[in-house]
Amino acid sequence: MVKFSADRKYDKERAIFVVNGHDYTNHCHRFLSVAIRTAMDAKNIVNGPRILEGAVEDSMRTVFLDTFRQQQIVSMSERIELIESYYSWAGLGVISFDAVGKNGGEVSLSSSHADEAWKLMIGEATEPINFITKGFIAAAFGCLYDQPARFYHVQEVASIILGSEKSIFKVYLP
Amino acid sequence: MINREAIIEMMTAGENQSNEQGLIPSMGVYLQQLPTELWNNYLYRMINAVEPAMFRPLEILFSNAASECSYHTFGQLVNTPEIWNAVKQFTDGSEEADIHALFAIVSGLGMGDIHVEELIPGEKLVVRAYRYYEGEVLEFGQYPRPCSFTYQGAFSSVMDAIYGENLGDFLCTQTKGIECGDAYGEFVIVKATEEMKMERTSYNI
Repeated sequence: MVKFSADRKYDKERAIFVVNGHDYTNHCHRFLSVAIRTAMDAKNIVNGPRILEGAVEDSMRTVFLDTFRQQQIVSMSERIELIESYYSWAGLGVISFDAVGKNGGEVSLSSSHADEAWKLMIGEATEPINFITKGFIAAAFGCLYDQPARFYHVQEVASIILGSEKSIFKVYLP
Repeated sequence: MINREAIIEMMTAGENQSNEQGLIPSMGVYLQQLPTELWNNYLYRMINAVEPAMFRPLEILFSNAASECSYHTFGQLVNTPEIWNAVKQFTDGSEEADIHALFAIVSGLGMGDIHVEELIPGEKLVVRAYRYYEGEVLEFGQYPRPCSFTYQGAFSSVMDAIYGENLGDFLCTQTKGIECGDAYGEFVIVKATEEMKMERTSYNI
């Protein structure tokens, strides 16, 4: 089983964490939930959820491609294991790439930081809120199939925050 | 007043360990560790996407969100004896030291090299951030005005948590920013006037 290998150091001068050459910061679940809510609240002036998804997709693409190279991970199955491992390492929950092909597939969460954060900080939701995982999944499929950003679209079709046992994401080509 | 190095050392020692749910419980919250680029992509794409007239409403939206988050988290830290006593062992026990300690914690979370420049207890706080990720976004040029909305909200909530009765009793104005060409970010937090509070709630976007 391939796992994400983190060379994590605290840069005292800059007061920031550096993981495998990239700058990282810790935020709490409250921060993540209000960041998501801000994207939704701003919808009258800007497409906040889409911007958040794209922001995640682009930053995760860099992480995935660098990590494939750093850990010399070549096979599809090992790359998927590594991406799943990263999701938990980051504290985002437990993700499973259940069906993966060049035309899309299906991904599920049995545990979700975003949904738990929303429940704890904000309460109930009336629509799916996990834009961060949508961007994460789009980045994963793009990197697995050597496709550009925004190539894959992701839709959250079942959500833990809305009462489902698992969150389920459909991945498709527009 | 505080042993800042010791607090940061305590905060940064060891790895974040996720549990079987893929969550990282720490200090009464769940942490997540993500690239700063992700958060900067999000904030600056939002800033760059809105009409100039909507800059201030967006600033308020983001900073309000950050202060709401930080107010609860800092308040929880201060009011959880097993956590706060571990921090207090590195302070002289004064209320003023609490403020300095909270900024050491902010630095220990990986949010940047951030220091209290001036503190008038219960009245005013000036914070200087010599390195902070929202300031480090441009490869050329500068923004015409400060844009570190998350830091603005987080910093005002420190005063709320220690001296305020409610969230929003103190508000922050960012007067300098690395993102707009200054050598450091400067954040001035004062007791909110009624006029300031009105502005914070008057935008409906």
